[in-house]
Amino acid sequence: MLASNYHVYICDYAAEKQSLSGERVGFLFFTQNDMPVCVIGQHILDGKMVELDKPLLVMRKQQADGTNNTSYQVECVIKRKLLFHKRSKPIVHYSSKKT
Amino acid sequence: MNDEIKHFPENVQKLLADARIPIEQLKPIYYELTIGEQFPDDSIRLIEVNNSLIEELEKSKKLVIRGANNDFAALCTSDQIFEIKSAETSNTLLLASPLDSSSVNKENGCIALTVNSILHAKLELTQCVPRLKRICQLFEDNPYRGHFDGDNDIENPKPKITMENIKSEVQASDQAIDAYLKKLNVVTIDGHLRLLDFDFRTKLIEYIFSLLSIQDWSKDHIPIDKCATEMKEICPKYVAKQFLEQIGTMSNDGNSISLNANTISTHYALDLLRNLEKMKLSEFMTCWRECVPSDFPIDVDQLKGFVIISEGTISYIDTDNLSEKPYERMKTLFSRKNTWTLSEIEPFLSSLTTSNAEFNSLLAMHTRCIIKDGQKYYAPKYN
Repeated sequence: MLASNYHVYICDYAAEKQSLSGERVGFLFFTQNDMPVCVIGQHILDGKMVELDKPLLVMRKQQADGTNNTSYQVECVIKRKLLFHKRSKPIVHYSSKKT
Repeated sequence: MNDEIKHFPENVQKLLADARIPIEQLKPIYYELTIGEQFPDDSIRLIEVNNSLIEELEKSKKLVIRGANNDFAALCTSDQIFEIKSAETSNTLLLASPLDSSSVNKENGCIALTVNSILHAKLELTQCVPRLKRICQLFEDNPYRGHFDGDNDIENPKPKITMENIKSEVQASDQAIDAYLKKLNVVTIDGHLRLLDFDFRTKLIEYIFSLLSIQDWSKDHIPIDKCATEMKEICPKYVAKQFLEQIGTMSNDGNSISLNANTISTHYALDLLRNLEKMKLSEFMTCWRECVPSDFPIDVDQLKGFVIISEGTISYIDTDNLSEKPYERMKTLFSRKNTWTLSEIEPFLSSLTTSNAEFNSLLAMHTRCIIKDGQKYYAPKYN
């Protein structure tokens, strides 16, 4: 689906968490007409797929070899991103509504 | 419920129901985002590139970032150079990668994605001009003067300059560096680079001319090997060879060169002018004609970018030592001459700009245009 091994997700607010490896961030779905929908916690994010005008290279800094030379390994090229530009919608639980 | 929807496990179905997302409008595959083990991975950078850079990267497998410690970072390809600047993005970027394909759980259509980095900035590239001035500075301390070379001074050893030094410190593409080294007459001696001293070059050229008349060689067909051997009196053969290749065009078989008339004429002109403040143009033309062999044409146009002609006088200007800052360079140029035509000033400014538009904006920023006798002139903006 994406040209690269990486996907970029842009959230309009920072969905930052303290370092919690293995923790689930959320789920991502695609509608039949290819629009991404992301559910993070109590938030529903509607987004779209955007082709980048200029591709992004993902570079990883390599350990310096002791001299002045530092190198970056280019890991992949990103050509598209998922952009979540709309304000998130909250999830209202049915169960809480009923009570 | 159709078959596809059964792929979603119960917890996801409940989530979708809570979120009031109609399941039948979704594709049967969904992604689960989890935080990766290395999160946050700070060794990741994003750099925005154009397609030609990707082609270059695929071809040469690497791009180089050059500069000395105090320089900005510059990304160099074989023929272009870009300044690297970090730009904050208004949105947060989460970089997520799929685990290997085996992790696709066909049973319930779930693909696991791990979020490894969170980024707030990306690196952007803007094309810029090569900064070659440092090459000159590196070399000017210790030019090469043939057999009487002072490099064996054991008490004050001079720094040795290698191609690697230049290529890591000088912010320019490989092509620009190679062309500039050739223009400066830099040769390789014992594995390191040396600039041929100007007066030594004059000596070499004179020697070549005397050989031409003794051996009855044509200036368009000088046998490199023989000529270099004959020159061993003033410098080692391998130095002479490199010099011949720089001042001439090699023949197809690689055995002979044809002297580059422009290079020779220009060298003589600079030899006349470089130690004088200025000279009357008519006087200069006579002297110049006298010292250049008659079968080499001379024309003031050959000296574009080397001299300033003003009110009937001609004077030398060392373009290589002009400041790389536009304001400083303009100041120097206008201190030498008050008003310039476009074609006069262009050779001194072209190395500061990458495009025509940039050149025009540079002129607009630092000069004002006046029209005198139907001719456009450029004068300093503020006196």
